[in-house]
Amino acid sequence: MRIRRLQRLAAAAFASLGLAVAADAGELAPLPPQPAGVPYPTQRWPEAAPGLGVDAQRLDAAFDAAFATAGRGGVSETRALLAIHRGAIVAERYAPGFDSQSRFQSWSMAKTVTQALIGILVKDGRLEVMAPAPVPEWHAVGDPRGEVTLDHMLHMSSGLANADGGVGPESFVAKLMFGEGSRDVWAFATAAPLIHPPGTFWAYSTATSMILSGVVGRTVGGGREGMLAFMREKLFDPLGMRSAVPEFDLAGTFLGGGFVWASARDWARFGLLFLRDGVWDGARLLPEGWVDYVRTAAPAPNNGVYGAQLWLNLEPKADQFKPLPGGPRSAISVNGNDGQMVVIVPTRDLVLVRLGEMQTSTWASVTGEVAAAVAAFPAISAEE
Amino acid sequence: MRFSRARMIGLLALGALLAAAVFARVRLAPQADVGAGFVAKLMCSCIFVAGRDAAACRLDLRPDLAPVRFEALADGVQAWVPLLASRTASHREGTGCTLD
Repeated sequence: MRIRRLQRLAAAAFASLGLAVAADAGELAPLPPQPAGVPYPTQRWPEAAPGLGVDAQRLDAAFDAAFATAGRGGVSETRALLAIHRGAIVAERYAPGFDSQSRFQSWSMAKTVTQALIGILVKDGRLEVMAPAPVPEWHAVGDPRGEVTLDHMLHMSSGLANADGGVGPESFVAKLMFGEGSRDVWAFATAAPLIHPPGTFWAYSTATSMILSGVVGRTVGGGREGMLAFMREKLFDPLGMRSAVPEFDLAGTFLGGGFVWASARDWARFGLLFLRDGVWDGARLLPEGWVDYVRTAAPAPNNGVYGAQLWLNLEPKADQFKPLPGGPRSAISVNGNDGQMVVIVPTRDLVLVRLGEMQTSTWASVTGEVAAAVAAFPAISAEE
Repeated sequence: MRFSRARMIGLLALGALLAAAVFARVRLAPQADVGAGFVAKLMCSCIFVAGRDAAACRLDLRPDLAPVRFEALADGVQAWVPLLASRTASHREGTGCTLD
């Protein structure tokens, strides 16, 4: 079968870069190409009416429902909802006070931005995911952390004692982002000891993503300004993400675990990059095979739904949750605190962006709203 | 030397006060530090990066952060818990808000 052979070739090409594809690429749904005649949204987003096969009424009802729940201030919990079908905006709505120019906070969606930056450096031959991570603090003789690779960290399986540990003020992640660790997240995050052999235990860790963004910053050099220039030149500018604002700590490390701001339309551009296999308007931005690598579940036995700084709509293990209950298996999700979601559905050629709050709603209600919108779009492939 | 009853009570009260102060420093200061950092960072980014007004931004903060006071500055936000913690987030064009 042609697609299978292509996937194997991609896997082989990826392996030749010194990387390994963690699972059988044959299980992954094909990524749809940009439809002929539809321009990439680098300058402006193409807009279209919902096309053939889309249940427009159902889509409209799903949008209505998503904006029906009010938060504490009376503003809708959903602040922005955007559907990109076959490369064009087919539905877009904002809560009062917000519009297509408004910047929204990423929270953990920044982790996927960090992952893309790692991918760009892998493509340029400046980082290797299977090699010990370039963290000098871990490379003293006898330090077991010297065996931690970027692959382990991308998969949230470093084995370090730096998991988020809840959301309260005493949690590791709160101290990292807002407390004693916040002036120098690299120092705080890399200081954690190893408590599991690398690769054997999955634990969601914002600190680990901060180490990854620190690795990117230290690789490109030039401090805060150097990192900003790199992000713009290699990712934001090629995609036309002109609203993107990454934030930094006092020491100059990009806060890749939680802080990027961008408009809903720019978050949709970021999602489209993954839907198009890391290729943008003929130019490859992410290495060949990268999107398959990041949408393959991390191999740690206690993980079912996490890829590489990205959520997968597969079967969750204990203490995990499915990003889009009732949605297609092929869906991958860029998720952030308070219900930020960029959902990418290869089998429907769809990107759905939901941004807002979770003051009175829950993950269950938000993902239900998003799943209802996804359900309005037809499957283009049997391998949902 | 014999302590008078009043002096004994006074000493005990002083001890209790000292213990409370130590407790506050050790137990509450880190929490206050996180709370002040949270409010300074989120308010700064909401006002200067998202371009929203302070009152609307304040409504998005969790009610349990009410003890944290804040003040919008020309290019940032200072947030504090009286006697326990104070943090400032400063805005810079292009790179958003940074906690001090």
